[in-house]
Amino acid sequence: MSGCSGGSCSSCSSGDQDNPDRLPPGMLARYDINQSTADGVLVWVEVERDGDSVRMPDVCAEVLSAARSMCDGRVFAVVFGGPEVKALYPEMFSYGTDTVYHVRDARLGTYQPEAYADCMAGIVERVVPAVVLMGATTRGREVAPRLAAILQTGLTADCTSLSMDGRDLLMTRPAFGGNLMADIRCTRFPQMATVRPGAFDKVPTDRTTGTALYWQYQGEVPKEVLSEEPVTEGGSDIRDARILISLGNGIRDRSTVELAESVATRMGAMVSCSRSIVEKGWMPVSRQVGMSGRIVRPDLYIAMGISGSVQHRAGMSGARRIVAVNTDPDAPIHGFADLSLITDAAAVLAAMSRMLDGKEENE
Amino acid sequence: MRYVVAVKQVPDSGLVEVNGDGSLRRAGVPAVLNPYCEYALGRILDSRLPGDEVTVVTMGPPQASAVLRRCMELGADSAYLVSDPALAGSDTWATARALTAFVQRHIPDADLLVFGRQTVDGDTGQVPYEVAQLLGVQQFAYVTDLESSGDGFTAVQDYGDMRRRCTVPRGSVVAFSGVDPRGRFASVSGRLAAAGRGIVTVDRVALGLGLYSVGTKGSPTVIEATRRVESTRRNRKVVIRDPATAAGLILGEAGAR
Amino acid sequence: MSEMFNRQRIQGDSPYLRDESSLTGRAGSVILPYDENELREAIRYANSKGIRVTVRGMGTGVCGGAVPQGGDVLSMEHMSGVTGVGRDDEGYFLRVLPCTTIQEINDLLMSRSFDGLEDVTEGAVSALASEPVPYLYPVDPTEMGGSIGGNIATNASGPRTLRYGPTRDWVRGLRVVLPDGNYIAMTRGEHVADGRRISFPAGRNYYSFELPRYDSRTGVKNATGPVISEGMDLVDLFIGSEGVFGVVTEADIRLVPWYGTVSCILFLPSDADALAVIREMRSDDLVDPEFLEYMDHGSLDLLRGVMEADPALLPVPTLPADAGAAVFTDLADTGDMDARFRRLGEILSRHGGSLDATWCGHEASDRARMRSLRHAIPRSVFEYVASLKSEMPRIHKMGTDMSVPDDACDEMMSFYASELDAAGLEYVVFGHMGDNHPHVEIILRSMEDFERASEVYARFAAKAVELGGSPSAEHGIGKIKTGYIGLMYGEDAVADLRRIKSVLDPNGVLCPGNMIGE
Repeated sequence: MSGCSGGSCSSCSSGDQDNPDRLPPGMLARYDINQSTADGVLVWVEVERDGDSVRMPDVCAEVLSAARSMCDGRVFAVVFGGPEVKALYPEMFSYGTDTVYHVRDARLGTYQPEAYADCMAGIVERVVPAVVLMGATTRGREVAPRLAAILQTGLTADCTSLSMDGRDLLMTRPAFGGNLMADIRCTRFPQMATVRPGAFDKVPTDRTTGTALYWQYQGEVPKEVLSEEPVTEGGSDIRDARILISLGNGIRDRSTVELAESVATRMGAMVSCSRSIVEKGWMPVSRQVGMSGRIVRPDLYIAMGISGSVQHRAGMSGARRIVAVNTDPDAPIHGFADLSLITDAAAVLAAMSRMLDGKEENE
Repeated sequence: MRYVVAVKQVPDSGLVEVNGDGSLRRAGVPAVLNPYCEYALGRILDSRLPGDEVTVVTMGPPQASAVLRRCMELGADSAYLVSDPALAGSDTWATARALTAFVQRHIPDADLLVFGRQTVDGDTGQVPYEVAQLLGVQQFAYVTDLESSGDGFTAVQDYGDMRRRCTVPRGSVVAFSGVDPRGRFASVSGRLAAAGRGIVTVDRVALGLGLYSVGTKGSPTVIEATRRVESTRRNRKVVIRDPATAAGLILGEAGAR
Repeated sequence: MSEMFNRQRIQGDSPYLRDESSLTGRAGSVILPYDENELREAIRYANSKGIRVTVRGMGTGVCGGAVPQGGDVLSMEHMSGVTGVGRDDEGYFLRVLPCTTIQEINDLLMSRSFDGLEDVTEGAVSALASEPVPYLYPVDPTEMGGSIGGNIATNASGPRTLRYGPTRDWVRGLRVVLPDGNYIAMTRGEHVADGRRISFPAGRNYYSFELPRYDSRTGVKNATGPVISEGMDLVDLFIGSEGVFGVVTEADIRLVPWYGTVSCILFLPSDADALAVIREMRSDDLVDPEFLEYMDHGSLDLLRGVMEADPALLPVPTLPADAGAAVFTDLADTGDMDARFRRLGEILSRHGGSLDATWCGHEASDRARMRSLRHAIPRSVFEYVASLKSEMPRIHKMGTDMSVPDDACDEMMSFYASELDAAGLEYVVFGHMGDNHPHVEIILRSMEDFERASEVYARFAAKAVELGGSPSAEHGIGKIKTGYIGLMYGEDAVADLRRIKSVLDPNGVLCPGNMIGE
């Protein structure tokens, strides 16, 4: 990407070889070339490693499934890693990949955002896809912008819905903490988006085969990684919980937190909370649901004494079912719960605890 | 060392409401320094050594100078406001180009470009890495610790499942991961010192960018429509006096999974 | 029993029986009027049956004024909201219902969206909306969640009294329902006493009676009953009289333009240094603070403890380790701020402080954060005392609310310290030192503490009166401090007020026990 990139400086913006009336100079050439040939969807497939075993994160399966539903026949996957990654091929094909570009380079064994983006740009140039997608994971959200900048195209973050009309992609993402949905288009190719985990369903197919190509990365790998260690979090992650009992400002007594923990353990649930509980110091920030906390999508979200601010809603609106317990019938949470119980949360928890005890005795 | 910290003015997020037609109700909503940016700036100010220079830059309308003023009160040495009517409506790509042009033209000798993780309004977190690519430098996301070492720095990055230490060469882009809910305050002496320093305003021409490179014209992404999220849930509201009944309903829900 | 108003039985431990004073009352029912007609109906009914009613706003009082002692509670909670905007020679005013909180009033004014408000005077709504700066109601009673009705009933003041005076100065007019069920709407100047006799019509009744024979102290911050003087305005009889003469159903409150402020917290090595800084700042015309709030070493230690136990509770950074006391102040953001700050720096450096050891900010969120720190002091004491309540049911929070004239401030402060130290009590001092009005909060660890503190407290009140001050500067008298009017103005004053009470409320149904006891 050298100095003058497409109409960026006023000195060369008077190109008259193109059609100066309709489009800015510099932009036209690129636009036209892409328009004529771009097709298909390219997806970056991340690899989770646990010792020697490799795993494809759910979000990648979801993105591949979405890609296949939009554009069957030209779904490309890029994956970085050694021979061990071959074990993932069948899964990639099953979720809809037609062609895997497997980048085998020892230098890329560790995560290298600059080189990954640079390498993917090379594959994009070869494949000329209309759309490039990746999961809105920590790495996806770091690599995607770098790739978008190389390709000089737009990028929409954290999409929750995608649809294609011909080669045009309509991207939908929540804005302002989920209060607002914005429909976004990209005027250049490839159209790029990161996709919110859990926004799409994983749809496996019977297919287990497809094309796999090795890709040779010629570029540099600039980053010097001094040390790397997996983070083992204390306790499990609220994002993995099937059922969450979530506590909010309506919980007035610290002992209720312990009560909720005990109820949760017996129900096979976990306890999460809103910001006010973290601010009181009653629970760690790793348990916080919301815009400044974690985004969860459990099967059942039990909001106990949570008023349901915009910020909180951003973190839990993806739950399959929401039960809200709050004494205030006007609390916003009741506006987006499946079941609203207008009663005191702490008393309900105590009652649940008693019932669970009773049940255990009966069995 | 010369640090450039990019900051943004955001609406105080707790107060933003959405009209029925999907537009934002901004009137009367106070604007504040994005807390992620404040955190990043604070980390740099806390670790600065004598002789280090901290420059803040923001892109926004003229009233965004308020956040630059705050940054200088907190201890930044100088401030630039990238502001031009033509910049309005920039998406992350156009923003990144403007910031890149600013750094190249005005502070080419920056030793570190510092960002917050994301803004509380846009929530994309893309600009730092687009700038890094446009400048052709390395990027360091989710940084939790940064220290000087030799000619450059070392950074600790936290990706959630993996933590690592990397060498950060001079000129790199660094995005701090966190936010401090307790925030910061300037001191009166910080405020007085800041009062003596002006804010340099840089417009589109001073950035050397053409009209089609900035603002809505230079933004490849287009917001086609916005709409308020209407609840799609079948809400059943039950007023219950007896907690045991409520507990039974909830356990029923849980059992039905 | 068919009734024209909403009346509900009170069951068990209802919030309608408490306020923030730790007093608990008893009552049969709560009456919840939705408008003035229902309220009048309820009062007429109570008056005819001799049922005593205690008027209640948001229940944020600390003297038990809203705590019922039998009879019914009359909760104004549904009569809330801003209804109109007006403008007269003295500027803009807002027409509000009694249970609107100060926070709601100022939030609405800040938002500047006045849709649906009535023009009390021609074009006032749109004129206010198009003013270049927002207008606010300037009295800041510290507790922004209290109702305007409660503020009027106690003539509340607070930190900004230093500049703006108490609630009374900002009430343009009132609409009051009298115990006979009639109402009277009055604007200042309409009903003025002739010497010490005041007369006014209300519905089919006509009242005329002699005013009390004393003149209230107005030179110091004072919330001890209504402000009585020769030729006084009838409006002032209902301000500060804690609901015993009538129920406010609507008020016109005046507004001031708001230019924004710079909020500062100044850290100093010791209590004496902070007090000296406050003294100098108060008399400095250049610095000209909006208010001066003091936090002594005990307060800072209390806050440090709270922040250590719960790091995310308060949205402020760690307090400087060497800070022994602090001053919280606001400077209006006008004039030559640099010169004012430099002068402030000179004052600080004379007393061991410096402009480096300060926090300052001009954004609304900065001010809110600093306030939360200041607010955490009484709340921490309150929570501590509340946690002892199960062991010691008779305990109640012991906080003083006394003001003295400027020249007596030092004497009063050393009197506090020597008496409390001699009694071996633990205490923190904070509050409105700009008005010589600190709150001394006594931390009670035992029943013996409670008794010793009660004795000391009585001596403080006597001392404050002796020095020309007020034993109840802003909280009102309620049911906890009855006797203070007698202490300040003599028992004749109490007898005079009771005489007026018997004229307006012969059956004694309204807010019994408040201000003048029973």
